[in-house]
Amino acid sequence: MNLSFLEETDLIKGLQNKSHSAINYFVQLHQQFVFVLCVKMTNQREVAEEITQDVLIKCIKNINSFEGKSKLKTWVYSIAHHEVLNYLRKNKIPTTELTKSIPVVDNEKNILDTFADKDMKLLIEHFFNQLPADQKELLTLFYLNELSLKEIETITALSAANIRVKLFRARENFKNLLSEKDVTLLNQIRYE
Amino acid sequence: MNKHLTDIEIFEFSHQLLDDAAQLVAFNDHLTTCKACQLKVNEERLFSKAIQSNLAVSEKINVSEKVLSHFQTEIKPVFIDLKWTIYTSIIVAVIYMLGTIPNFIDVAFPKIENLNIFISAVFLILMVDVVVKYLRFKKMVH
Repeated sequence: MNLSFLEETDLIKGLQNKSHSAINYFVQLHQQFVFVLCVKMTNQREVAEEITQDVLIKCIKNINSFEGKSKLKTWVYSIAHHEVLNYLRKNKIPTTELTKSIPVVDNEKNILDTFADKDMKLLIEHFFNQLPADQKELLTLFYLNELSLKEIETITALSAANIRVKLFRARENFKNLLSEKDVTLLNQIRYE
Repeated sequence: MNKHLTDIEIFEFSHQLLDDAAQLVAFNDHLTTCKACQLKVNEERLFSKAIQSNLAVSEKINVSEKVLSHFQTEIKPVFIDLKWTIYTSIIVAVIYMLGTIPNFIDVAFPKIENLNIFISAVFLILMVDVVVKYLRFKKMVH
């Protein structure tokens, strides 16, 4: 059933009545965004899918508490934000966990040797995963999910000025991580 | 504005994060004349685009069936709660039967005038409740 014509208020009413078509439409609409945030923060595909599922179920169950002060999407994101942080805290997952397929190496030459034949993407992800969770979250929300400062403000409960600074620092950290390892790598990324 | 833009200013300008219109105009003016800052802005934009494309998640997921099944098992359409019906019927029947025992009400309870009307009212409320429950049940099924 195509529900793309639905207004947000109709969708909310449908979710309040636990209508199957409304639930299905809501899930289709938000699952990918939530998954991207979860997978980038946890770096574990299965866990990210599970959290995505829990987030969407939680949203549907608590739809009555949505006050309409923000967009539905922003509200869903803020629930995802809390769920992922809870997961990281509960499981005491280090925020510097490495991508499974990439071995841990500790000097520049080894890194370059290791990644000589690998995809550039893997290398970038490897360094991205070394960032602290809050920086990964900001970069994901801003660059990948393309949210505005206002939306990020609502999700993280930080001020716009604070987000600007944190975002800049996160991006600088990421850039430094990449450039510390290999100066040419940075240029490769820039002009790829 | 003669001095070069700082790194954070370059970053904010490149991503259109500035909310101060005067600052934006000043930056634009500076950038029209300063090649070094122009280059930095362009680099910043290219770098961001590259990061964006390299970190993109291509994998698609579909959890709609899992979410739907969660709600299917949780909310089964129920017309009337059987326990509630049985207990209410027993209580009402007991009150009615006690009312038929000669002089029982005089002995056991303070005198209630128009007991029949009272019991009828209780039945009426129960019937209305049944109708409301049926309507809700019908809505959930469809």
